[in-house]
Parts: sequence; C-alpha cells; structure tokens
Amino acid sequence: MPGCSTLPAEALAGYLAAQWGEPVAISGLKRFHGGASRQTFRFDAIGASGRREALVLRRDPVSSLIETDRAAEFAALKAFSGSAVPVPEPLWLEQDAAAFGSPGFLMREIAGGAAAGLLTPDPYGEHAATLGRALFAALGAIHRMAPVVAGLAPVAADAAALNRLAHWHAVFETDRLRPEPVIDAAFRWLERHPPPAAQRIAIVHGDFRSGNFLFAGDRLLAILDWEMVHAGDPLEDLAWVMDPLWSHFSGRPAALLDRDAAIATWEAASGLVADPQGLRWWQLFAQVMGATIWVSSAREIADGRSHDPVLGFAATVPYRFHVMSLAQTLARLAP
Amino acid sequence: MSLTPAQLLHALALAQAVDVAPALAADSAVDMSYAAGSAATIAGLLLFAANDAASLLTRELAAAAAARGLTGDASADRNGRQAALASGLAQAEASGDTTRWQAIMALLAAEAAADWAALGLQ
Repeated sequence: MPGCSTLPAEALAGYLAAQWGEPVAISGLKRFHGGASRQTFRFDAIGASGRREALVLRRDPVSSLIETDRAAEFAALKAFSGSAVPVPEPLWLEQDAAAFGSPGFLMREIAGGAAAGLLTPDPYGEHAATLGRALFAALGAIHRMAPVVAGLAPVAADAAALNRLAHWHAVFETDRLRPEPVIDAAFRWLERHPPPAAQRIAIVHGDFRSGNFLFAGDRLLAILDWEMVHAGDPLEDLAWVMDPLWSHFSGRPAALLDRDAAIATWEAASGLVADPQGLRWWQLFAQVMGATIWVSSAREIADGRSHDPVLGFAATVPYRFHVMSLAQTLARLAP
Repeated sequence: MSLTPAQLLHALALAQAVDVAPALAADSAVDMSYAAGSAATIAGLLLFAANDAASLLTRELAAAAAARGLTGDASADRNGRQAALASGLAQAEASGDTTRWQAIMALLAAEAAADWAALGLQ
C-alpha cells in the first residue's frame, strides 16, 4: 500500500504551479488518520506571489473498504458547494495516477473543525440540540436535490430499495469469510418484505452520520465523505444516521436529538414524510449494509491486501455491534 | 509462557498506548500524525483482543451448550454450529415455523450480545 512517502511535496508543488501559473511551495503536509476508502492529506500551498491556501487531497488507496466513485464524490461536492449544505469547496479532479500517485482530487481545507470519533462519549455536549437541528436540516436539504444535478443516474422509485439490497448482497457473497446465519437471514427478510416505493428519488449521501461532519461548538461546518453518494430513496440516509452504532452510546440519533425531533427536523427540511413502514425496512437495511461493509474489511485483511488497523477495527467493533443488533431486531420479527 | 494470552495482549495494549503513540504524535514528519493515529487504534484493538481472549472459552462453551438442543453435534465447533443454525433458520422460513425461527434467532442474539460485551466497551 503506498504510504505518504509516495506523495512527495514536489509533485504537489508542480501540479499547483501548473494550476496557478506561478512557482508554488508546499508546507505542513500531513496525512490524516482514519477513513478507509480514501487517503486524505492536508497541506499549505504558497505561491511565489504570496498567495497561500490550505488544501486537502483525497486520493484512492490500493486497498479500500468499499469500492467508490471519486468522480461522483467530486461532482456531489460541486453540486452543494456554496449551497445551504456546507461542504468543502472542490477544486481539481484527476482520474489518473500521474498527478497525485493515484486518482484523487483537491479541495479547500475547512479550518478549525473537529469530527467525532466512534467511541467518543457525548462528543457534542451542550451543543447537541443546536447542532442536531442543523445536521438534520442539512440532510433534508440534500434530499431536495435531484440526482441529475450531481450527474447521478436516476433510479426508479419502486426499484431503489431492492437495487441497493441486491448491490450489498452481492458484495456480501463475494467477501464473506465464514457462516453468517444472522446476516443471511436479514438479507432474506429484506427481500421478502420490500418497502413502499420511494416518495422521491434524490441525492443520497450514502454515509451520512456522526463522524462524517465537521463542527465547531454549535456550528456545523461541513458535511464530509461523499464517496458513497448515489441516487436513491432519502430514507436510506435517514435510517443510516439514526443507526444506534453512530449514537455514541447515547440512545439518541447521532447523539444529537431525540428520535422524534430528528425526524421532524428532517421532514420539515426535506418536504418528505418518514413513512414508518419504509423507515423500518431501511433501518434493518442500514444494519445489513453496515455488517456487509465490516465483513468486507475483514476480507481485505484476511486476503493480505491491507494491514490498516482501521480495517481491523471495523472488522471487530462495528461488526460485532451490527451482528448483535441485527439478531436482536430479527428475533422480534416473524420470518 | 507464563502469561495468559489475555494478560500478554493487555500489556501490549498499554505499551502501545503509553509509549508508542505519544512519541509518534510528537514527531513532525509527514507520516507521523497518521502513524500516531494507527498506533492508538492498534492499542485499542489489542485491548479488545485481551478482553475477548479472557472470556472466549467460557463464551464458546456456553454457546455450544445453548445450541446443542437445536444443532446436536455440530454445536462443538463455532463454524459448524453457525452453519447448522443458518440451515435451521432457512428450514424454519421454508416451513413457516415462526416459533423455531425466533428460537434460533434468540440464541444467535444471545451469542452476539456476549461477543459484543466481551470487548469491554460498555
């Protein structure tokens, strides 16, 4: 796996010099820890004229927890840049490896923000309610956006759910390592009990949750990590952000608002209704999708494609959580 | 080895967290913030592995005993037991036997809850 040493500052300096039309120096180059589907670096670019910008590079790793589309991620950032949904401003996308060592893109750094760690208790403290209203309103605003704005192929409203299920089922069957009776049964249950058609096909972030946004105090600074963006049923995002895995052991969606307030805020911002039957299906789907991603991370390690401890963590902590929550949910249902 | 696997893993976790991760975090080289984060994650994983190892045998024996009525001899081995339970769930679905399906799922839920608790996170 290429480390940071395969990203010399000289390469970045040369790339930016061509973009800016002046010599550029690079300082403060650091690789962020965490994030299994992109390698992320920050640095300061300083032009000969004195121009100075703090930038972030996101590029593909050799081994990834999930296969994702960097062009779709870049297009989604473009679509929301300058809108009511705060995102980092995207700058340049490079689809081949020449510029950055692997395909990737540059965007402006959001200064002064933090993202919550999965196991951090009560990460938002006294700002939880204010931040929660901002976050669920931003999610609703995302779901007002038609997929075509971000160049995403549309999907039929009555096919969105089962298409997503088929996608993740195929991933699971490819990556599974051992008998998984709970996950197998969950896939079958979801296939036998499809949800109502989507009320609207919209842009779906795909990984909207605590930990994937930057905040400072009670201010929501940016929604991050758009690599799983796609066209689909907005309930997919709502169910994922409300999954108990992302609750920091608080019992509240994303450790921000209580469930009713979170749903009401999202409904007001999106103009949609959180249909209980549909949301129930997507909440079980969220657990299945999560379990599948964690199984895939185990496969990366078992096959020797990665030794990233983030993947080892995913294959242990979130995996056990989702197998447990799936089994507990299914035990209350009829087959 | 005089240490149990759980004791050894616990000591490694502490060494990683106390000695390695902070030293890496103090270095200003390009890769070091990433390395420090990795070291901290590894420390956490070692601690989880230590906690898991401490109760693994007890949990396996309990899970096998609980499943014996449903899986028979297959319950002795984890993969064999899970495969037998998977087969039992599929059969219960095919025959519409909700009671058996829920019984198997409750057993799997109990085993999964024990596996989660063994990490020592809550």
